[in-house]
Amino acid sequence: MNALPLLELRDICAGYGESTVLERLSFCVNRGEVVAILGPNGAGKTTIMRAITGLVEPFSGQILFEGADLLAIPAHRRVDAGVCLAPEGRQVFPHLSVEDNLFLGATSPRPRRLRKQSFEMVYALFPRLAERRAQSAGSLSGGEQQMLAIGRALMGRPQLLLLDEPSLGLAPVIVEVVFEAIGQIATSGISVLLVEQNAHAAFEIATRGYVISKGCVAVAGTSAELSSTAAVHETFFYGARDSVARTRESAGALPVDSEAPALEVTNLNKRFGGLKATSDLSFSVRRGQFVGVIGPNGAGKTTLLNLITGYHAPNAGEIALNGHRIEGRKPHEICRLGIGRTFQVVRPFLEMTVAENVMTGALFSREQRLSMRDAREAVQRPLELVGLKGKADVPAGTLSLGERKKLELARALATNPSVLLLDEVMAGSTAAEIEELLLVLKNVHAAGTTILMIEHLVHVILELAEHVLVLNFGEKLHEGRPAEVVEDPRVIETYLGKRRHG
Amino acid sequence: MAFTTPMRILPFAAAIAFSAACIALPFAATPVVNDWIISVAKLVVLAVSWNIAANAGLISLGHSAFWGVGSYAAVLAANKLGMPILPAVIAAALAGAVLGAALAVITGRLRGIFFAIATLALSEGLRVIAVMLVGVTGGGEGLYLAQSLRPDVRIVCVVMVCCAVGAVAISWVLTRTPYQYACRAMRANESAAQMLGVNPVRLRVIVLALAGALASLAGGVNIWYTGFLDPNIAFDLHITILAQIAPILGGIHTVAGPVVGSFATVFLSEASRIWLGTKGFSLLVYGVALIVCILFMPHGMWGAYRKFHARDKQRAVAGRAA
Repeated sequence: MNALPLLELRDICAGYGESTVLERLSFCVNRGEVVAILGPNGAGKTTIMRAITGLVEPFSGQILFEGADLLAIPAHRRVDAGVCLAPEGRQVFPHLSVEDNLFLGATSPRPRRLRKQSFEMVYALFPRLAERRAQSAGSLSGGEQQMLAIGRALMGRPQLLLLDEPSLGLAPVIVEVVFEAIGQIATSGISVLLVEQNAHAAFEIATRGYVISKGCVAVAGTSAELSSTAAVHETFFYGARDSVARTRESAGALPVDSEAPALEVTNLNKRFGGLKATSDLSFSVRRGQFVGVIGPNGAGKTTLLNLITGYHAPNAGEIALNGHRIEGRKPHEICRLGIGRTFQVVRPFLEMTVAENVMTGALFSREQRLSMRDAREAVQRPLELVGLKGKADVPAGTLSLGERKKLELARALATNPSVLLLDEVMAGSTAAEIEELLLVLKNVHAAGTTILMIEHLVHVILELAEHVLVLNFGEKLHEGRPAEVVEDPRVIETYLGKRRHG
Repeated sequence: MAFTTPMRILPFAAAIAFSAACIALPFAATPVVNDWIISVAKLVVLAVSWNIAANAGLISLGHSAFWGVGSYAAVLAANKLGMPILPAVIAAALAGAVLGAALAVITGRLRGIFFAIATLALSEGLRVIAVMLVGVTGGGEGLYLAQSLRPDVRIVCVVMVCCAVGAVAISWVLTRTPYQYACRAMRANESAAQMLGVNPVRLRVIVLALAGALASLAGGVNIWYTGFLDPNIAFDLHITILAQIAPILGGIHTVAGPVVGSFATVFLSEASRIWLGTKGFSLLVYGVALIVCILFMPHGMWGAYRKFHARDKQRAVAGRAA
């Protein structure tokens, strides 16, 4: 009972400049435990990780690691002390090989001596990384990059492994693999502190959890307790229930125009060197339709959006918007023709305020340039829709990842698109936020916007999409109504996996 | 509300009065003071020009290219075509605009450090060309501006100050237009900016033409003051360095920053020269002073002032609350 906790945070206050994110936050992680930290976006979860790793210096409070003051140790020495982080969004070094990335994980004196063993351990845990050891990290799929980020952290020989959103942007089947590996790491005696939006997955491996709200602990308890607590339920599981039933209601509820398709792709081919990113891909999206695109990481989903929006030119094939060919056009022309897009890796203009970001979307996207006054007006609705109105005058750099995703959506909406392409806008959001975003997208769709959405959250696709496209290795694996698609054995095998995550 | 209107007008009234005083000053001042006025004014134009390019994410290491081309354009316009100062400096600005636009087209998709190196190469390439084109530039021997055309030094001073005021006015107007959002978006993330309808090629051409015109203008006016030009003076690396030190010292990406920075740079350099006499030592002090300023004011002097001001205001609000 009296054993010292491995990590203890006492009354930590931390933030950025004038703004306080954590307010007298206290919690602990015991040896051998897996502790999950949950909470809505902007609650301060990533700031906790940054305070522990030393990237943010707390205003006040104590962080004890094995009973010693961790704050006295500079950030770069904390790896040596036994604290390693696999950061949010993975942050692998894209131009270095897998092996070099791992090598860099063992740069501190202590892990350096154990480097050889560590390599073996990581490769045993993630055989996929061993296969790709000479490949550049940037060419890995999202799931492999996540494995690499965790592997790189393990190379530091941590006693405490910090994982910031390991399931972010991963296909369900890969989430399973990653979480199994995390389970194995925990059984080998390493303590794990996990920040995660995917509460189902987190509770499956965590012993205890803390729910953070507005910078302090709102609820604490074991995984079993938490997953049955009403408050947690509301924040995290609300979105997951009855989604299939609701799909049936929503499908076909909208009047659909049956002239030329809004978007038509014919025999689209794109090669990167020897790699076929898309091959002979054909599909069409009717005006007003809501189409979901699913498929494993690396299936060519984002490449498809890059081809439609002109960031890549196809090697062969046609893309038509409302019957007019658009392939080979530049992105800014595509935008003015009425296609809006969000990016999977969000690209906010950090130094601008939230409102200025959205205003930039309104200013240049129309044939007739808006006046500054009109543009300021045009900002209001998108901000209101995504729920960022209260943060309109905050610099975009201070937003959390989930909020940045919302900003990305608001900015795309401000371009007033007739066709909206969404690349994992929900990733990094809690179920409650997803529920809000679902409503937003329903409203946008109901207002007549055609939507093509890449998404890994199956219940989101089930709820929103009328039609689903499954991609694998750049080819169309399957196409059909959502309810049919998720029952297809090939889709289950290549994408969904045995269990279904929330 | 009662005091917002005068508060808003006040800075403008001050700026206009200050500009008018600067324009009038050369008629009353000594040659030394006139030299300072020229130094500050030409640096303001250069710094504003550099800052306009930097606002769109285009970091130039070759501002001496524009400066040199402007200088040669003005000298040649005067010597070969008999143009007086005003048409000659307009010709210089036009030459700079053309060079800027050409640079934007040629560098195409180069960004960041690659663009910066291309501008450095441009400046050095032009210097070599100027050495080789003996028939036009006089080669290494250089050339003199036709003495008969040179106006009174005070006139040159006034023209330079007017250019500086004009340059600052242009950069201020730009912050009032949608154009500033396009620039900031480009600087932050070009691919995201494109998806919002910003045409990066067009924007780069406009930005570099404008920045080039201003920097060439500064060079084109300066030659009427110095009267002599050779390739090493025209394409001097020192110009490139000054053009970026001033805005960085004053506060990059702001309107006031380049102006404040220009005054500070000239002040530091002159003060260290006058008070510390011996050339080597004064340069050392000048360099150290610059480094210390930049280290301790990462957002420049203007940024530091704004921060101080904001804190003051906060304290006032807190005081009122208590």
